[in-house]
Amino acid sequence: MSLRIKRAAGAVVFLALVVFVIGWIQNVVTPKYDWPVHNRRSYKSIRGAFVEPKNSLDAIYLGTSQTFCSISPMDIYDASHIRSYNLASIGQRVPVAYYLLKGILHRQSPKLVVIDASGFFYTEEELLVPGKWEEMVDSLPMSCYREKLDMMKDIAAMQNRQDDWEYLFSALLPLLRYHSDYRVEEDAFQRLYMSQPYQRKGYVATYDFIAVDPEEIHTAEAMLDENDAFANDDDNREVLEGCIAANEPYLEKLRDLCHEHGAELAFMKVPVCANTRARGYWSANKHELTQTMADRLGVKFLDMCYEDLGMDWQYDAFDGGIHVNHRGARKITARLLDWMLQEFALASEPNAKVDAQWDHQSDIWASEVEYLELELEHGLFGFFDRVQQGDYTLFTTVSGGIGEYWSDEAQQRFREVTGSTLDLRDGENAAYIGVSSHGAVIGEKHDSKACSIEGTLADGLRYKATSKKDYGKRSGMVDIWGTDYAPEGRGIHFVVYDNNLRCVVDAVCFDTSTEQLKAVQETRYQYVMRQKLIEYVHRRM
Amino acid sequence: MNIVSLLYLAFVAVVALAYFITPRRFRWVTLLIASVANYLSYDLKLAVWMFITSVTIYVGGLLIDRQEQKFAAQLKVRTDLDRAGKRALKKQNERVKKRWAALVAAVNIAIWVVFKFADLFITALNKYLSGNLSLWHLVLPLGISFYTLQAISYVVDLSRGKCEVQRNYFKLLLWLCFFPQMLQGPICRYRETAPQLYEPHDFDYRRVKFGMQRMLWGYFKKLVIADRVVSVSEKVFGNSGDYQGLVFVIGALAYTIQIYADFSGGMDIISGAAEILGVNMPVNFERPYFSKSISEYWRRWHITLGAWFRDYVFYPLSISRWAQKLTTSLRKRLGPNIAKMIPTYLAMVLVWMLNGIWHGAGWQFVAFGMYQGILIVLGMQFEPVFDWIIAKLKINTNCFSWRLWQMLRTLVLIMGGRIIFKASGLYEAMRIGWSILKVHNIWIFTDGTLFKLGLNAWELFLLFVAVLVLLTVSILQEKGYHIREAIERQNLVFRWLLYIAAIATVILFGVYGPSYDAAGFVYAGF
Repeated sequence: MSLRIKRAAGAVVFLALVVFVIGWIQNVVTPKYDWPVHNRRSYKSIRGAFVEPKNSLDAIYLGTSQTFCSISPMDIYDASHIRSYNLASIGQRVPVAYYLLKGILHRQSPKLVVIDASGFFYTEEELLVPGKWEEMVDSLPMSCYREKLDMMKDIAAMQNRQDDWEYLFSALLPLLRYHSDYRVEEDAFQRLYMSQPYQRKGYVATYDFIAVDPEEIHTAEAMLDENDAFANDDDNREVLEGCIAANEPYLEKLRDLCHEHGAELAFMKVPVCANTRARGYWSANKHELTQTMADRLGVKFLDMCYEDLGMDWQYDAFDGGIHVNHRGARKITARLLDWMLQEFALASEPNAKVDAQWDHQSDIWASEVEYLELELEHGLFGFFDRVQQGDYTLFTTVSGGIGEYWSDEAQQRFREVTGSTLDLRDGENAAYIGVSSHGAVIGEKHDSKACSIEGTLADGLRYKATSKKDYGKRSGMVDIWGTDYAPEGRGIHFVVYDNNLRCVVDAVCFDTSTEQLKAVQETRYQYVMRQKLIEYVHRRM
Repeated sequence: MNIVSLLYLAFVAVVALAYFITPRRFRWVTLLIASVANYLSYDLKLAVWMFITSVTIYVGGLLIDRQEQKFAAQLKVRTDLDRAGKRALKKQNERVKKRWAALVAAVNIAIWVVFKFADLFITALNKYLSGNLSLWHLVLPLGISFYTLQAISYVVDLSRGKCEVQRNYFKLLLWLCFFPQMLQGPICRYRETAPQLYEPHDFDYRRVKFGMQRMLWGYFKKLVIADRVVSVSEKVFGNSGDYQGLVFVIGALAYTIQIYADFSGGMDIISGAAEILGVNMPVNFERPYFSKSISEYWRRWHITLGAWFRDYVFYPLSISRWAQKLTTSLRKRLGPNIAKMIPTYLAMVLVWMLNGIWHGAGWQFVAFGMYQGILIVLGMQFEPVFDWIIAKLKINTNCFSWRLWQMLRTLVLIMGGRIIFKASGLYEAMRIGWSILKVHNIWIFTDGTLFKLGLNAWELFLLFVAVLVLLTVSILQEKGYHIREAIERQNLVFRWLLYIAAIATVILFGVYGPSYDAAGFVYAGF
């Protein structure tokens, strides 16, 4: 081989190596956001849609975080065998939704595309939040390079950066934007190795319940009242008209795109109950404007804010009524499925190979839900039932004395679950702590003032529990490896430790001074806990 | 286009490819097209001024050459002339050529002065004569401070007979606007650079490889060091009211590192790109922070600018009739030595004042130049005194510790100059200097202040490592070690690993891209 050929071959190999290294660095530093740990969600959920078998999806949902918390495609599949995917993302702007759909339509040919109207009312200023666009640009696979570039062009035009071609090019080489990510996000390098299952099909299941203050519960329906005391500043008809008008070209493009691909476009609005002066999440004005837009574009509109879905805003929302948790999502998903079946006669073509894959993922999903539903349980007796079924160690502490609504039945069930022979209603001994497993007491104390107990379980777990007669801060405490898991609240606290997973899987307090035994959840540590649970489910599958 | 951009890299690659596939005799045309396109890409309107300069030196060059030919013809015809007559004719010829050169230089300096100082003059007029003239807000044509000096050097050299006239306007234009050095120099001499531009170069694997390596090294200096440390210098000098004492020393050190990494990094990128095309740019930096005196520092820092002022301002001033007259008149009163020294020192201070003005429009830049000039004059004046003290104290000057002391002493003086240069004004520079002398807040090294100066602990660590790499390479170069040749002698696996690690370092740790508001080149602003 001549020297010249050798050198040319060497240069080509070297260039290939450089490209490989750049690709690897890009893969490492480009954020792969995952809800809720980054308060963003895109990479895995969006990419998941692009790894679905070709032309296997019957419906696609677009929208904001309210949408991805509300619609569970796997529940729809379990009920109807309709295969769908939730492509919603945090604060998804209509143009972003348009490009996402355009991208996915290269691989899929859904019959129905449903977009949630919450994204129709972003002001021009809100439309122009580069991060909301860039996240999606980076989440789209390289096969959608045209959509990536088009999105970047749009956002660059909005920022008057049309000439900044390096910014435009960063659509294809996000390394240009993220190469320094290591200095912003400490866990940038770890994220590459995160393995997220796709069986959720873009749905984000949340299991917290942060009860909405009854005074604050204010449904959109109530907003129909012109004298509404909650009428907030941004529910200004003119401003809202401007917002939806700004989005109209993209909504038209969305409809046309759907028609080009033989799909039908529909509007929906998932229910919310949080309307405050600071932010109106939905209103009669928004409903009317969306309906007008739907009529103009000739699309159907389902506003679930005005329907009785049996939502219990005390326990169906996880952040005070803005987003629903898995309990709420099941109700909304069921209603949407009904609507899709009735209005669009949506049905799925059987496909043995694809169905087998979905069935398998459905099993994983079911196991995941089964493990996580203990968290959603807000009834005392339901809680006892679930604890009895699992391999758990239960830590109990009473804070501020057992209340007057601790009934005979509650006492009886408590004895069955924990194996305790003590009567918590003993007026003299208001403080109680106990540790039990499989209906047998490991240790307990009952005292008139305050008591504590500490020890080590068979697997080496060190714990310390405290109970005080008078209610106050940390008057009921369950400390495991230095972390107090007991929620803040008066009444009886339970901290559930999974003996197999070796972690706390639930922490709840039932307020026994209220007739309904109001449940309060500890939510601070739950993301870690859920990750462990999900990993466990996957290992078992 | 910005030399720190993907577009520039692509541009260099395309130009190199086009250059090597163009027939040999037209290769300079490829460079010309690339250079003009590059210049026009910045600003079409402002490009006019560069073309005007090129026309003036082209016409001026032809006129000077015509005068030279006329002189040669006269010599041939006037056989009757004796030695004295020939000398008179030659003198006259020199005078005419000088006049043409001076005219061309004056036109170009006038353009430069108007663009650079118009607003300063108007402001001064308004202030001192209570005028109400509105400012012009002129945008400086790109690279004007560099190509003006380069243009003057051509006509002056021509008038001195140090170079040949260029009769092809386009070739001259190529020399003036050769794209790698257009933005921030080096200030090339016609006789050194032009022949390389016109001569066709064949593809040379080794040269191209070395060029790319040099560019990579330049990007490392610019993106990893200069654009990182700029956070500290900007924070300290941009909010100087919030700081005192040693924080300013940190700021001055940061700026000292920044300006060197920035400027010499840019030079490496420029020289690397030119090397790929077969053109060797003149050396502009020779590890200036290893200098043992201020005069040595200026022989190592921005060498082409220093050489320009030496050849076109200092020497002509020193041997001018004015200087000779002054020496003669002072000889009787002050003795021959001092009489000789005074005009030289005056010329030197004037040169440094002009050097300061070249850097910027403002009194602080004049002060910056004067500071350097005065330090050099004092250094020269007191050298015998220092030598006497050293001899008396029997200090060993032939050892590392003495050389280190000299380098540190010079570095401190350089940092003083940096403070004058970087502060928001002359008064502010004096306030900062006073604060350094007065406030001894040594606790800033332990109370976390360092991490609040624009870079967190991790970024500071990264900067420290990068500066350490720069220092190591500089020490090796200073010892005469040829790093690129040494790398070439290594095994392929090692070489490739080294190159890839370097590329990855620049990509990952470089300060660039849309998410950054990266600093432009400091010297591109002049």
